[in-house]
Amino acid sequence: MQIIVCVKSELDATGPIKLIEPVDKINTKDLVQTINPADHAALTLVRNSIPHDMGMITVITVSPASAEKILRICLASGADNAVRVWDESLKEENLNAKSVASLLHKAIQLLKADLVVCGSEGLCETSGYIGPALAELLDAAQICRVDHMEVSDDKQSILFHRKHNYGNREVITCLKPAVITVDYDAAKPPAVSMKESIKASKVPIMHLDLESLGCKEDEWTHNANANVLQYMPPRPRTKKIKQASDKPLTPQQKMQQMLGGGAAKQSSNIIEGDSKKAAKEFVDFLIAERILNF
Amino acid sequence: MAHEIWVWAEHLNNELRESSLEMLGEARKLADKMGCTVSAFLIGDNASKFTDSVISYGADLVYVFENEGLKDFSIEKYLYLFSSKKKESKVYMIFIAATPDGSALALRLAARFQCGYVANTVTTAMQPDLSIKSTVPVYLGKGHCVLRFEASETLVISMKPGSVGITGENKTRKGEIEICDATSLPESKTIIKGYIKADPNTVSMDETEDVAAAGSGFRTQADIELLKPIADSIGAVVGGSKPMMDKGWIPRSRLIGQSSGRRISPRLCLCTGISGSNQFIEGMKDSRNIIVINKDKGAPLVKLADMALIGDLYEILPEIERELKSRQATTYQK
Repeated sequence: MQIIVCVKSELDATGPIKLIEPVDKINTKDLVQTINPADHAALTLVRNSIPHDMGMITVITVSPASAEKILRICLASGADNAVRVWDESLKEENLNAKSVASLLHKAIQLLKADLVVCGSEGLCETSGYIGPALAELLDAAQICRVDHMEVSDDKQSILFHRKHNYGNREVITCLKPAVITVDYDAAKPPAVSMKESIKASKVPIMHLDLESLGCKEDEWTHNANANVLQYMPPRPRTKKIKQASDKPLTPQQKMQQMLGGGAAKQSSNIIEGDSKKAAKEFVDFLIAERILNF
Repeated sequence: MAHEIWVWAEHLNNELRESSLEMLGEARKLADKMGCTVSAFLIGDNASKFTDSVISYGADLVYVFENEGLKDFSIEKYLYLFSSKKKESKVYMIFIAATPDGSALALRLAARFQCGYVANTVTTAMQPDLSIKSTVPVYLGKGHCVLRFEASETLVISMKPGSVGITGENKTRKGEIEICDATSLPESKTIIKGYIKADPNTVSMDETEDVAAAGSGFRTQADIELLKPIADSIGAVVGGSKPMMDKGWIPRSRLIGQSSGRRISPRLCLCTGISGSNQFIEGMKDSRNIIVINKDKGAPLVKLADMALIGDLYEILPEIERELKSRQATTYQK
C-alpha cells in the first residue's frame, strides 16, 4: 500500500504577533517556520496505525528548498520517503490552494497512492481545502477528521474512526483510493532522538519539477477566488440572543450591545435561599431546555 | 434564472439542528439586502417533515430530497444533489454550519464548484459593486483578514455552531416547497460500520455538548467529586477554570477559558464556584445555556447566566444530586 502524507511548512502562529491597527500585510518576521501541527499529527497517526510491512509512507510538500528541514523532521518522525514539488517558475506568493492541490494531484498520480492523508486545517489560515480538493481531483473517497485507524485482520482494508456529532465516533471504511484528513489532536508526534535525526538527514529527498510531473501551465495556474484587502485586529462577532422580554432596548443597552459585539445576556432567573427549591428549579430548567429527558 | 442563497438544513435524530437555523437567519439577513431568494436543502429519508420549520426560520424555497438511501450522510450523494440544482440557478452563497458533516460537505462543494470558501467567517456583507466582503480569523484568531470575492463567484460559507445565534421564528412566513427527484443516486464510496458513543471522561472539550465547570469555590480536589454525579446524569464533561488547572486539580485538556486558546460553545455550561474572570467568560460566553452556582450574587458570571443559583455549592450540589435521583426513580416507576 502506498500512503502519501501531504505536509506544509507554516509560520508558527503561537509566536509573538499582535495587530493594533489595520494593515495590508502582517509583519511575520518574528515568527519561525514550523510543520503544520495537523499534518504532523496525520503522519504520526498513520505511522502508529500502519505496520511497516504493510505500507510505505511518503511525505510530500509543495515548497522551495527552504522547506526541506520540514521533510527531514517528517523522515525522523517515521516517514519512509520524502518528495518536494517545486519549480523555478513557481513563485510562493502566487500559489493559492487550488494551484497547490493541482500540483499535488499530479504528483500523487505519478506516485500511485492508495491512501492520501492531509491535516484538516492550517495553523495560520484554517480553511483545510487541500484534502477535499484532492478527493475531488482524484475522484477518491473522502473521510474528514479521522482520529483513529486500524488495519483489518486480513490486512485488506482499514477501519477509520471519524469525529461525529457531540464527541461520538463514526466507524467507517472505504474503497481505494481514499483521501482522509486528520485533526491536530489526533496523535501526539514522537520526540525524535538524535540518532533518528542523523539518519533522516542522510535520506535523499526526491525533487519533482513541472517537467517531471508532466504538468502544463494551464493545469496548475488558477486565479485566486479572493483578494486580501487588509488585516485588522480581531473584533467580536455580533451574536443574536433571545430577549427575555418583548421590551425594546433602551439607548444605553443598544450602545452596550454595539460596543460588546452583541446583545448582552441578562440573568432573568436568580434563585436564592432554599437549596431544595434551587435544585428543583435547576432540574426543571434542564428538562424545559430538553437537556434532560425525564 | 433565479438568484439564490443556499442553506443546507441539517437534521439529526429527527430534529433540525440549531446550527442550521443560525445559518438560515444569516442567509435571510443577506438575502433581504441583496433581493434574492433563500433556498434550503432538506436531505434525508424523512426530511419533508422539517419544511415548515425551515420556512418559519427564513427560507423562501425548500428543496426536499427524500430517499431511504439518504438516511446516512454520504458525500458523493449529497454532492450529486447539490450539483443537480446548481445548473438551474445562479447561486451567490452557500451557507453550511461547520458540524463534522457540514464542514466536509462545504469544502468538497467549494472544490466541486471551483468557488470561494471561507471558514468561521465573522462578517459577510455585499458591496455596492455586488462583490462580497468577508472577514475571517487568521493566525489563531490573533487577527482578522478581510477578503473580497468577485460578484460572479459563488461563495461557500461555513460557521461554527453557536457562533451567531438563532434569529426569531416567524410562523406566519410563507414559502414554496419543491419535491426533487432523488431516485437515481450515485454509489457511496464509504461504508459506515457503526458508531461509538462518546465517553465524557475522554471526549475533547471542543466536541462535547454539555460542560460542567468547577472553580475556586471548591475547597479541595476531592470536593470536585460532588460535581461528577450531576455531570454523569447530564452526560457533561467536567472541566474547570485556570486556578483549578494551576493547582493541578484538572488537566490542561479540561481547562475552559481564553487562556487555554480554546473557546467553547456547548449547549449547557454549568459553572460551579466560578465568579467569572474575563479570560473564563471570553472562553465560554457563546454557550447556549449558562447556569451558575455561586454564593456571590454580584459575581460577573451571574449577570451572564440564564439561571443563577445563589448559595453554598456544598449545600446545593448534593441537593441537585438527590433531586436528579428522585426524578430518575419516578421515571423508571412510570
